[in-house]
Amino acid sequence: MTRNHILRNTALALPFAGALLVSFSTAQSAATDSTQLGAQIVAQGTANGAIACARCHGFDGQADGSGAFPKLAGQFPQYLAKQLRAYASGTRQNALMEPIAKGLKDAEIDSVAQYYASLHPSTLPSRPVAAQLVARGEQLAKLGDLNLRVQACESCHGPNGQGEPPAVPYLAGQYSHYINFQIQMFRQGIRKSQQMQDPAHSLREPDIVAVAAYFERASRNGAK
Amino acid sequence: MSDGPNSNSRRNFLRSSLVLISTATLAGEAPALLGSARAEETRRFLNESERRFLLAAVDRLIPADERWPGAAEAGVVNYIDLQMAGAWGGGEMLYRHGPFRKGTPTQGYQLEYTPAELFRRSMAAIHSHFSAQGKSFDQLPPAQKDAYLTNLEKGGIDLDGVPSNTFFDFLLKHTVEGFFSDPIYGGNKNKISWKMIGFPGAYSDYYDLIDKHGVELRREPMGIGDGAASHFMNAMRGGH
Amino acid sequence: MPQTLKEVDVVVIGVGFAGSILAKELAATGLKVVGLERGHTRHSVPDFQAPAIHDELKYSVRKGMMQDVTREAMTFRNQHREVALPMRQWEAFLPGTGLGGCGVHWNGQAWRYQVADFIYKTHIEQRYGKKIVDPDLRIQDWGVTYQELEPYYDRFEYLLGVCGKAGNLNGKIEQGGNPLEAPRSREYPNPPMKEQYAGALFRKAATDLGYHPFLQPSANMTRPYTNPEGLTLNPCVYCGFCERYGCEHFAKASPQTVILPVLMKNPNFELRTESQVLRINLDSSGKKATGVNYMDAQGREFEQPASLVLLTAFALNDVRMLLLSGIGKPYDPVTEKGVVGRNYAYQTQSYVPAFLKEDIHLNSFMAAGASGTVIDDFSADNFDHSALGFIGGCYVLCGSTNARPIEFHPTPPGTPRWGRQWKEAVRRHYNHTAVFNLSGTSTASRWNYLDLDPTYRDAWGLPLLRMTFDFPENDLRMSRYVTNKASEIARRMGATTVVDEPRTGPFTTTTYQSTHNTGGAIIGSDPATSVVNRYCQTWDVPNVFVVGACNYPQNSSYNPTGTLGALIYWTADALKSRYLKNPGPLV
Repeated sequence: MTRNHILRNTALALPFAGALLVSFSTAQSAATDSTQLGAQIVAQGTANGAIACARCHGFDGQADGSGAFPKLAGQFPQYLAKQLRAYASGTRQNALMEPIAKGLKDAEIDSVAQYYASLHPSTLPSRPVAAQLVARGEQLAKLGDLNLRVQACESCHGPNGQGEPPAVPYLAGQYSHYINFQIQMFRQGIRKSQQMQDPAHSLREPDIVAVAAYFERASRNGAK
Repeated sequence: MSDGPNSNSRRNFLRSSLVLISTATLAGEAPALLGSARAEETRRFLNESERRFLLAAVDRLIPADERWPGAAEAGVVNYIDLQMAGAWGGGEMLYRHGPFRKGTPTQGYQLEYTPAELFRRSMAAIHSHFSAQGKSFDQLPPAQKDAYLTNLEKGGIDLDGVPSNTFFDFLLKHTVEGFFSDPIYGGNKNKISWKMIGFPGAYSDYYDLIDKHGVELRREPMGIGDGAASHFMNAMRGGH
Repeated sequence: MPQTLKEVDVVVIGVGFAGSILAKELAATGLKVVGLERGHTRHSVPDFQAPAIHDELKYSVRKGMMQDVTREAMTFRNQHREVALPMRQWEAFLPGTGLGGCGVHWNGQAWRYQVADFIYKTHIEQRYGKKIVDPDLRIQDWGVTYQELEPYYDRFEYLLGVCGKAGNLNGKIEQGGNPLEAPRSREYPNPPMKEQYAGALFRKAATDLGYHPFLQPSANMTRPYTNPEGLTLNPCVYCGFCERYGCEHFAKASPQTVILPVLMKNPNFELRTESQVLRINLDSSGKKATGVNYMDAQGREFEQPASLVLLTAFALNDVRMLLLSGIGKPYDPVTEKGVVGRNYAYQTQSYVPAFLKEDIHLNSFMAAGASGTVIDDFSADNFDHSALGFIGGCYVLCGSTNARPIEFHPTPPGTPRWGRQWKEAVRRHYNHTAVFNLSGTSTASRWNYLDLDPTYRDAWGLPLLRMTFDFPENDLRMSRYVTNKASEIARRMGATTVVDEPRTGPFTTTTYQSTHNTGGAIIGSDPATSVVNRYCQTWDVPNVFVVGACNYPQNSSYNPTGTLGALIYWTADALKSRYLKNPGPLV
């Protein structure tokens, strides 16, 4: 079994291996109290059943590279907090995240979100894929598809997929496996979103693979 | 899932994000926000004396202040240069068949000049006016510049066929456009006007925010040219 | 020498909402339909995609989607005795062009008229007596009633997916909707839009003052919606680039999103774009159309023979086409003889800017084209005019469709037009100013009309349409009254400065007001005072139908598109169930 397969099939995530210690820099000048509290929870978890986030998402927010767990570094704090609350209430269904989110108090949710938001994501090298696949993904990302009646992803997800703070998450640099999986979740109605519902449904399977491949390789700050 | 205005998530949202500041800082020294203004002049249409006049004039129309740069720093003169050199200056979307007659104010623009012609004529007349006195507009002290512009605005001066108030309104209109339009047109450098007023720009999805009344949204504005491959869009459309 | 093409059953002139729907309905019966569109083809992808579409300079300021006046303009004068001059640039109103027509770049404000609007003359005279109507006004009944059109309103609203809450369901007043609306047979297809901050403040103040605020009915979707044609639209994200722009999200109801894909699939239909129709051809009797002549982009002229001609090219263009083709007698205001061009009307707009405190962040850039909270208490004849000395009214709308900075940078009265103080005022007030939009009735008048200009021509050498128009005194009195009422609401909202700015004359072409140009080919029961009968069939030439806001004898307070949708389906029904079975005059 691959490591990723094990991770996906067990409720417990393996602790993040220290071998890939990635140094990060905060985007903001000084850590706030909230961010420090967040760092603590990320590293150690809480007494109320919240496992340390770092075990799956990494202390640096880069996760483990498998795509089973999303990169959180630099994601918008409001978006992260909203997802945690959605997990806690069951609005967003996930057997792994639900008890964790429920184990966080309100202020702790905000702190954890602030912490991860303060991190600078790194771009890890991707596996090589066919250039046509990425090109198709770029086309969908920037232009959409008339026959599928799908608009450009970037019209909501921002230039090069860097997101539209505070509410629309960045996709640039996010693991393609994770993006693919989430679109499938929207497609099947398991994850609910008014705006994602029809695009997820209208994209064909190869298109989903294509946009995921494109965004994983998109540079968050864009080429200028 | 849409939340009502008083839902729990709205309160939490407000608590965690009353003022949203993205990774870039927004406040700061006005000149520092833009870098050097003169370094990147476009040179498609304006001659030197027109450029000098415009830099001085737009600087009075929308001046810099302690907190925010003005039209000159924002590249409005480049904007005007590019507009006059392009299709707009050449008379697109302008009905140019005669006969040309003076109309009532409600009948609008009735001159036979394209924007570029109107501009050039007026500038030549203004230049002559100042040359004849051995002066130039840009060298006047601010109060006198304002007085001159106000005089143009009032009307009653003929700028070689262009009533001065027509020219003044034209100049003001283009200055405002250059200040507030997307930076792809050469003005609004670094989206400075959008930062000043709090307009988030061309990328706009407010589905989750519109009913969160009173949230002070401050984020780096995003413009049309921000996506790296905007050339990609043009290529797909056949280059126009 | 024009080349004569193979005859078809139907020619549709102008492929916007009216043209697309009628073409679809008729092609579905097996008829061969040709749609002639003067503009270009365009689609949601790639033409309306963001961020490129969110270009205020290109689309709002330079009128990127609008009719090209270098080729085809109009002339204008306020008074009959003046010389009309060309509108050399569009400002006051913006006729569109291109596949989908105005349906691409409208706001999506989807209203119905009132019951009384269709029997306006009868109703006003019965309620107030004839004396309330100023001597030069020319109000008329439509010849078709609201009740007859109701099922067709319903059909159009379900095609578009209009979002709202019914206020009057079959006579029963419903909570949450507009209690003053005309009765509808069923609920809107989708729930109302989210309320903006300005709208919420307005709602409270208006309620305090005893009015009945509700969310404006909107053709910007509030949830994913699959319409009866099987086409799915996405929810609107309130991007603030609606009017004058195409929608990137498939969220705005337009021909492209609600019907064209179905129409284009039908092999009975052929679309020809960049096809400028020059005239409708008549036979020697002058009572039968034989087809149309049009010119393509290469300047080649064609004759397209057809048995049936549908003129759906936008109100102003429809009237011009009738005049150029010699269909119907042109109107003369001096003799009051003739019908084509009479009863031209508009929309009497006014605004009430309300400047609020700096700690109120309105975020007006978060907007849909039809978001907003509105009261209907002062619209049309919804209130008692007995002691007021005018007829008509305005709806009062608070919210925003946008806060695009070139177009929107309000400053309080007394602020200089430029300079340091202006800049500071713009900064201070941009995100803290609500502007009420009052949309008012426009009463037809003897001296407001359309005809052909004697001097100015288009790129094809044909005379331009000439507009003679000014606001009737009645409408200015009406505007003063309702704007004053609206200002009270603004003061109640706690505005630090309120500008009570009613519409004043003369009408000017130099600033934008509205593209609700109505009349000129009006509907009616009497051929002496109307151009089309109650089925939108021209009295003079039974195989020519005209469907557009040009049919409206006068304009009510409401945006015309919703009512036009009802007329479109009503006419489609008349064509399919009556005309095609037995071509000839239906009345």
